[in-house]
Amino acid sequence: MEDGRIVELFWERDEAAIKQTAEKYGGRLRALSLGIVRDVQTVEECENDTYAQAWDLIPPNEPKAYLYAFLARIIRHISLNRCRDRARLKRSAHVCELSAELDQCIASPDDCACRVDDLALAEALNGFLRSLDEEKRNIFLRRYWYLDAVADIAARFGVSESKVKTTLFRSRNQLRMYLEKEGYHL
Amino acid sequence: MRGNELLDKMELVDPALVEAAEGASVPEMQGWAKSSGADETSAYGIRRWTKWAAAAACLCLLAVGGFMAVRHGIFSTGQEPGGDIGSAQGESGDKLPDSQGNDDSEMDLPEEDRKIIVSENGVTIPPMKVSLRKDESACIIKNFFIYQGRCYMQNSATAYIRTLFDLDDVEKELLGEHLGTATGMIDAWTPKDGYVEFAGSIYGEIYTLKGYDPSFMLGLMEGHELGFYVCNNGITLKYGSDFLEDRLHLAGNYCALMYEDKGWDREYEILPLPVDVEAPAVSELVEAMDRAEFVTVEQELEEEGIGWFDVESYRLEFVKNDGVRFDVFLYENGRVWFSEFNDICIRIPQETYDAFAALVAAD
Repeated sequence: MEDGRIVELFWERDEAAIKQTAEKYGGRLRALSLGIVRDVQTVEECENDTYAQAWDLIPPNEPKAYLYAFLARIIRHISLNRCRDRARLKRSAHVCELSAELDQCIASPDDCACRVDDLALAEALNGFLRSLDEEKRNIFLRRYWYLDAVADIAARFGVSESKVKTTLFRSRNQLRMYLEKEGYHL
Repeated sequence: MRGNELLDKMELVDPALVEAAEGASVPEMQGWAKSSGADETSAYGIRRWTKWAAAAACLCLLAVGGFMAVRHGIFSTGQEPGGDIGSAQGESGDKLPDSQGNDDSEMDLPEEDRKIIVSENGVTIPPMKVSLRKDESACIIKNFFIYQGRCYMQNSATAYIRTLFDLDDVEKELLGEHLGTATGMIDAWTPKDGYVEFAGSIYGEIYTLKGYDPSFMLGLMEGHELGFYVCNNGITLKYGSDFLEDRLHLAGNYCALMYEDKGWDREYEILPLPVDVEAPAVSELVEAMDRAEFVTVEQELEEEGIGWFDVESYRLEFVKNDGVRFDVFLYENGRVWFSEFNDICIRIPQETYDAFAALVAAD
């Protein structure tokens, strides 16, 4: 079923929307979540919570043109929060590793809340990503949006892990410089 | 704000970009090849071939550059304006000795004496005194820093490969004493008195490497990545073993050997292929390299012209048990060039080369 029709089902409050969404995107959403939480049972919970949240958010949202990205954003958020909940008991190495990497993108990392509102930060991030060439942008997003392992990214793009690491290292530095240059003080 | 919050904020990224990344993979990146009807394998092959050609051209330029540099004294200094590494000063401002303990007056040798010396003792590469002001290309092609008056150079041909070690992997095994911080203060406008201890063209933390002579090789942590910096000047090498064994301790200490027979390129690194390190051809190769005598590239060029760089070659990457890697460039005529030393090479027997080529071809 086309995304537009699925979204219409949500708007019509037809529970078939959940079924159709799960059929079309369930596998990809579970894969995304599994990459973050690394636990099948938790993935199932995250997936269910994602559908529930999507039910609450559509309407008023109408993501006909980007339904997968909309759902992926939800499950990513939920999965990260699950990781952090568990981290209270035991640190999640994967998320810690990614967080440490992204520390490099911030000129002066501190514990203060972000000083830039979401709208401005979205503009900054998107501006930066659009300044990258397609390959670098996709590698960056696979790592920090989809939270893929370096080895998985290397396999996906048919390059060596070392090239992925190099690309990410440079992209992080470029992001830091971009944010500084554009006057964003995170 | 910290990285974990930024990780959350990544969800603000435009969904269109996220969608595009979701489906991105090798075929999509090579759309130009797909649209021309080439299959994925051949597209990759074309890409590799193109890179190979470009990289070979770079190698030729390096060789010619090195040849011209030696011939015209670009890497020498004399008393001309601009900074020079040989006159590196300590933090106290005192002149530092060079790698042989000479003081500054002894280092200000006539230009002729800065050429590579060939003698019965081998080839002697004099202490390098690079003046970036005299020739900016010197700073473009090399990262370097100064430590105890010695110039430690990162090899330009393999810079990206060498700096891709994760600290976690090698920290306990390889990193030794912290020596200081490379300040990266030198550029083409740096005056002569700016060529001081820890200055250079790169920032980072300098460490000794366990098991390696610090007068030969040091590690530099740049962010989370470790690079190997070699003092490739102020030394005399007669046989390959002077480099491979005395300094790198290669024999019996390598766990992997990778090769690329085309397409190697420092900007677009491809996946090198493994070689069976237990194969006799590999140990024979190492033994032959150990036995071979160093000669200057200048000698070889005068003998056969630049053409010997054109013949098909392999880039080999030895991976040592401790994580140190280094490159060996193997040419069809048996010549072997180490990227640590631009201006000298060795030559192994043709049958040794052929045996190795046969091993690779059989994979």
